[in-house]
Amino acid sequence: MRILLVEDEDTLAEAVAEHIRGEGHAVDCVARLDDAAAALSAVDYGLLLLDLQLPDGQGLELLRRLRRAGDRRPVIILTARDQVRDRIAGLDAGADDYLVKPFDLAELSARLGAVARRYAGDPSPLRHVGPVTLDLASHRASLAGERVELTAREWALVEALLRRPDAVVTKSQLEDTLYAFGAEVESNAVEVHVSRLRKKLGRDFVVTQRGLGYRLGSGEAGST
Amino acid sequence: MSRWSIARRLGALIGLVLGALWLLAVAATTFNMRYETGELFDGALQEAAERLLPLAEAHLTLLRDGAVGVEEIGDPADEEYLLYQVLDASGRLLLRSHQAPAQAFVLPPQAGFADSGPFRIYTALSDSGLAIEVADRQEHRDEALYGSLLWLLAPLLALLPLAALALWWTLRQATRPILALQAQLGERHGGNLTPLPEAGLPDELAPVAQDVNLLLARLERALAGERAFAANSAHELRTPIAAALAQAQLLAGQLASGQQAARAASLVVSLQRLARLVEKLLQLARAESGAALAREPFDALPVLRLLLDEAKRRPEVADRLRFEAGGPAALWLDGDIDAWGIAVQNLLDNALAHGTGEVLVRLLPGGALSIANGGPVVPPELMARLTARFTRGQARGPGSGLGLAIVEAIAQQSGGSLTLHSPARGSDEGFEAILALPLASAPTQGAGPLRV
Repeated sequence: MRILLVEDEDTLAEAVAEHIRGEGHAVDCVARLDDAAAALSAVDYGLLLLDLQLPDGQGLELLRRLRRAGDRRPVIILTARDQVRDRIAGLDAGADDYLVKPFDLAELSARLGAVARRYAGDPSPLRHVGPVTLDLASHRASLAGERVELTAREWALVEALLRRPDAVVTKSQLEDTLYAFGAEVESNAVEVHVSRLRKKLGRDFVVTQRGLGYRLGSGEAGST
Repeated sequence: MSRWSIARRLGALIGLVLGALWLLAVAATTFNMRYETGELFDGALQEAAERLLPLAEAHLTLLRDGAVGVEEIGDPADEEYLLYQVLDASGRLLLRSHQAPAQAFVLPPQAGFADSGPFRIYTALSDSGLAIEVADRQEHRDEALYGSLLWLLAPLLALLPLAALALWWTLRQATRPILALQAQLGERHGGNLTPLPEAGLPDELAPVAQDVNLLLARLERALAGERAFAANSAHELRTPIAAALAQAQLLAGQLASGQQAARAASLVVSLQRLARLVEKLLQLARAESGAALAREPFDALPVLRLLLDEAKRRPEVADRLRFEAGGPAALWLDGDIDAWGIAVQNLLDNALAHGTGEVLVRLLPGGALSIANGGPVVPPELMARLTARFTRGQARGPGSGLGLAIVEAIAQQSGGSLTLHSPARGSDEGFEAILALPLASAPTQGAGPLRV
């Protein structure tokens, strides 16, 4: 999933971004509201991590503008403001979750996953694709009951495909998901990851629609 | 130092001084009246003697036989006011009124006033050598004096209680501004530092009110500064700690194993502890700078649900926390929503950290919040110290030891109460905390429903 992190404290932004990248998401960092607005209009982010007190204004204003414009993208607020009043204001403005600094990176991951799953319309972390079972919360995959280890990039690819289980996802959409601005992308990166996934989870896990992109395999994707 | 009352002291002093002056006035009046009535009686005595002398002379010339007589005029039983004796030059008694003694009042007769025994006497001498001594009794004079004094003083004496009443009423009126100022001062507390009304105060009290107002203004500024500091330092402290914690966790995750990984892990633990301590200290600073003194109606139920919801997201908490449903649809409290949130958060953290088993959250009839957990009974001597700062349930347990002190401070400032029970009510073990805040009447409009 491609994530936009709006945070003006560099040390924190860097650590959060690296942690989320380690989980296979692509992260863009901006420190100002206007940069955030520009990035949001240019890229189809799957999720927004938003600090409230920014050099050029209040994060809540950006959130309210987005929601007024009908933008339904998931937003998690990361803030030093811990008061009940602030939390209620944040949730009222349309945030999906509210995380008070300082927070554990593991907690951030859990909240990210929970919000993303809620948006996929299924809060359960378990997905089944043919003989493959995927636990999105604990990042565990198994093929016919046998545990299979996936890299972070492979997980990101799986999650991107799972978000639209019945649709074809284009190669450039997948590249967008996997790589942030400025990252060097090998032209065949997506193909390489897809072929590794097939090796681990079976040939039928990902189907190639020639000229269009990829979709999940023949086994009905669904959850228990 | 024992306490004393201005009104009582003033009443006693005024009463004493007035009483003394009054007695002095009575003494002076008595003395003066005695003198004046004496003069009056003396005048009458002299007049009577001078009028009687020629008459007595004529009378004796008619008699000529030199017999000594006793004047028999009127009923001898009647008491005479004026007595007289007529004497010849040798001092022989020639004539006397019937109650006059048989011996001469004054011998030899001498013109002028004299006192003898109970009598006051005036002696007049005629050219022919006759003397008349007219006397009246001193006791008659005193009777007249005391009669007048009685009529003069009796009404004044009757007026004394009335005067005391008037004095009491006057003092009450005079001290009323003091009492009003005292009542106004009594209404001032951390949440009400509005200036005292200075209009209409007497000259003696106006400077007091002005000085108190200056003090209140300074206090208000100090409290506002402290509140602002607590709020700002929250942000200033949280962000760098968040950055340090995130970097440390990242480092700990990247170091595979060995001594460095262990160091990084303990760094993370220390930072997490620091983060918790800073949070509690900030909450305490907020509570002590009077954040909980605000009074504004708010619906506590959405806040409670929000806090429970957030607590349940911690995987180790999810199954232990139970909210007893079926309570009221809204719980309007009169207080500060943030302070209440801090208090409830601390009670939840406390129950989850120190208790075992399920944590039961209930709304009691009357609007109090009960948070109960299982676990061993807390010894009574520890119960008494729990709301003191830096007291932990177990000596080396988790937590900062500030949680219940924060809740206690907030409960007190909110005009509510925190009651602790161990064992929990209706159980023989565990711990129960009951937080009660003043209820507010639900506003008919205004604060819209909170989307939580």
